[in-house]
Amino acid sequence: MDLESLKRSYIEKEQTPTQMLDGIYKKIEDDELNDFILLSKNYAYEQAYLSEKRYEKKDGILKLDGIPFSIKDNFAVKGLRMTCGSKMLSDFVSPYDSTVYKRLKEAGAVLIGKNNMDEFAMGSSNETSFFGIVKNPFDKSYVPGGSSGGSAAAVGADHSLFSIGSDTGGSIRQPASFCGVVGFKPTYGKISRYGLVAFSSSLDTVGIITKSVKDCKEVFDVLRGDDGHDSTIEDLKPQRRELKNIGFVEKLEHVDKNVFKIYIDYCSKLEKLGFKLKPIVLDFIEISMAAYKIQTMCEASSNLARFDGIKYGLQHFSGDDLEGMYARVRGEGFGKEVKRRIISGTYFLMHNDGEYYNLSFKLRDYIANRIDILFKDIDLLILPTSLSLPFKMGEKIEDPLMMHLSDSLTAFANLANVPAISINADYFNSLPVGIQFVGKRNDDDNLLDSLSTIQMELKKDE
Amino acid sequence: MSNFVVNIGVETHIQIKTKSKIFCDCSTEFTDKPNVNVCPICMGLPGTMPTLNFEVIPLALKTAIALNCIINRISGFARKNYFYPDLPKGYQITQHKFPLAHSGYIILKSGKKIRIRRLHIEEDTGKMIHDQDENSLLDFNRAGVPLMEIVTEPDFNSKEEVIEYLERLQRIVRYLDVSSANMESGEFRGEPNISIRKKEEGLLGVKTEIKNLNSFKAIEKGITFEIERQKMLLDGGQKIESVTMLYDEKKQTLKPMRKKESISDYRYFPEPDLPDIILSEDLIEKIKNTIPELPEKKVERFKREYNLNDEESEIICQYKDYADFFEKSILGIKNVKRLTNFYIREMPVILKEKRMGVKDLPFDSDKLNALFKMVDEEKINLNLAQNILKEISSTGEHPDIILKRAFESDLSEDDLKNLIIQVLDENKKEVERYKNGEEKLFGFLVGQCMKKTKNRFSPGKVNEILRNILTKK
Ligand SMILES: [Zn+2]
Repeated sequence: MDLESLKRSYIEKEQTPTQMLDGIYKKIEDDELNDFILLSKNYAYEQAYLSEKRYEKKDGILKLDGIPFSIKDNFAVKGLRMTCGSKMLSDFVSPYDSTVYKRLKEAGAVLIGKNNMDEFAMGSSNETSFFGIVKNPFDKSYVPGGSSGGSAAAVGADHSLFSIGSDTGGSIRQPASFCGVVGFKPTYGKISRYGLVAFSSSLDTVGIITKSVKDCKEVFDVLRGDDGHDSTIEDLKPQRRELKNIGFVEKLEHVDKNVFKIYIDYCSKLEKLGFKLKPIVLDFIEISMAAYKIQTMCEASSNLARFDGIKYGLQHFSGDDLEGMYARVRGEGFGKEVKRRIISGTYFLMHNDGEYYNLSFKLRDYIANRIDILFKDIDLLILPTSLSLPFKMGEKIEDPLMMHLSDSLTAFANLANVPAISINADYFNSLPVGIQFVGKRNDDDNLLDSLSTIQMELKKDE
Repeated sequence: MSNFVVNIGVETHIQIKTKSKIFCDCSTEFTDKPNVNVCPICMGLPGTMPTLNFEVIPLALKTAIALNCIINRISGFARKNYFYPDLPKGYQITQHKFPLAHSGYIILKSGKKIRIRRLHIEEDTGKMIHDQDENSLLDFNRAGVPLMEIVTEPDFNSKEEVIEYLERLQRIVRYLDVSSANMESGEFRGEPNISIRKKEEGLLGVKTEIKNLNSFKAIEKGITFEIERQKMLLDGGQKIESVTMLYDEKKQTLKPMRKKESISDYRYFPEPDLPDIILSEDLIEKIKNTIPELPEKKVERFKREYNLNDEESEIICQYKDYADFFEKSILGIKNVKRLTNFYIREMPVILKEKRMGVKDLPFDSDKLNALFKMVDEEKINLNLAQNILKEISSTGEHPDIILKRAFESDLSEDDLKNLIIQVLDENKKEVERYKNGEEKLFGFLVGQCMKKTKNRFSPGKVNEILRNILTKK
């Protein structure tokens, strides 16, 4: 069900927001996907009650009134636990609201609960969560992708109409692809990050997971714009235009051949819809992976320094001296992948007065420049979202290099600060395969409008 | 003992006078209650972000301009990463490669130029307190309070130079009204770094830093102790290690803190949550125009214009509002020199007694000006003026009223005549000389009469009657 028809069903009294909640909570329980770390039933029923009143009165109905949604557990909601999928914060209750949550609440949306995720958003399979692995709604032995795996699984399994996630190098788009849903990462600076626990501040973006691009656009319009708390916000509106020319790649390294086949088929469908497809060459993927890793690890090592066991989170006060206490808290509180990245980032920053970090910025500029040049000839760039099909649990987790490859088609969009969206293209052996569209910087509105049209046109053909 | 050359550089942290903290809306007001001026942002809770309080920029710029610095048109924030319980985020937001300003100077009285390497803005950390039971307690009221850090080159060769520099710096920031700069409340903290070398050696020695110096006296002592310590080490053939020394006010000693971390350990990198600070020529020009006459200039001008000596001018110019009060109160006064003592002695006594600044006095400069005019026009003598000042300072009344009341005496004009005759009898010699043409002695006789009458009659009246009697005689 999409946002519009759900709202209509409320207006026409086919069901109430409370009844909707009953159904969703039952389904969450029955499905056992482990896609939620916390269910905020009290909050939800209270909101649903208020929403119901508005629908009864037929007065003051809000934009997302009574729409159930979920949020990744690295966003702050006052009075609720915010764990970031980590033991470190397993008991942390946020005393303040993130801007994103605040805006959704003001728009009448109803929070179902907080989604499971890779620890501190570090991972691509949701296997690093302290709260256990999330299962793919299409096949429970498969991973949902990550790090916003709980969010994508929740939307894919109809546990929420939409979910808010974070995307630092593909953390929304890749799980969206694995769970057969829409995952949108806007241009950096469109949606306030206030209340999103930072992983890599210069790359983190708040994004949206939905069933349709149309819904995505609606939620995006509620979330976007300055809030006075995030100084990196710059919500420039593009000139409205039709996007006609699409760049695609004829060759791709390391890609699963079934994925690539679906990609090529999708491209020809677009051609039939009247789009002009132009072959392009992407030769900066490897560079982008190096820049991405250095930058995220450096920033993460600093962003995660605040978890020191002093004011909140995991604490061990007795017996130790100060250094011993830090070691014990951080040693116990963080998982393996998080520690791996903190240590690497610390090393990179220590080396030669931050030379690696500075270099990663130069590479970012280079990549952004190359993308800008590409977009002189095309309006959209199309790529597979992931090199691989959804994989089985435990299949790749012990191979960090393979895991890192999973970001390789998505991270460059974060590095170049451009918008990108993954939508489902097809299925292989009943496993969903997503296709990614990358747009020009600040061209988010045109990207969403075009994709919305494409999605509807292709549905007609089915 | 060998001959040593001492080189000292100074880092000064100055609290910038803003209502709210540098990256959140919390108040900067000093309070004894711990952890009341805090919020999720300055406590570094996960997910929070800093936003720059733009109030700090013009204030820091003003200082940079007054210190003759070059302003960086683009400057930026950086993270200084280290772990300490009073540091909420595990890093301090400061400026590193691109400070707000650099390459300034202050000139000492001797004419010696002290070069200022850089001026940057940053956030303060919290405070860790140890109680009697050896518990460590944390207070985050100060965390996020805006600071300027001003770093000099190692240009000082004595503690006297350091003190003079700090006093001048303190006076400048107070003149600019960018900081209250009180040392006791931590708004102005000087940290010297000291190295000594044998005279014949060209290169600077290994430097050590002294922290926890909360008064000028402590700074003087700290420097003295550290120079002695280093001399002893070098004389004994030992090497100086780069350490941070902690001054203990109670024990009057220095003890080494942790080994000074080398710079790469701070893992500086640009703060991704804050955009660069870009300054327009327009803004810089505007701020330049708000800079008042600086203390050094004022001291010189007062010496010139009002014929003050160096010490007098320094005392009067110590605080800007004091100097302004002085200047307004002597408007139209011909003989300023005679009245300066009011600002060296009487006024400081009154202010000290009342524990207030000039702006809180119950009278304004106009009233003082009226009083000074009476002296200038020889209506009253200095003695009476001092007494009237005392009265104004508690009642706030206009000097005219006080004077009038003083002369509403119970004595008649005949009583006055008698008193004057008495005075003339006591000063026969002077009366003789006056009559022989020494006109200026008339003033002396008036003075004597005023004394005798205990200021109960107006100088005009005394004048009139005295002249009458003298001509009759
Ligand atoms: Zn605060």
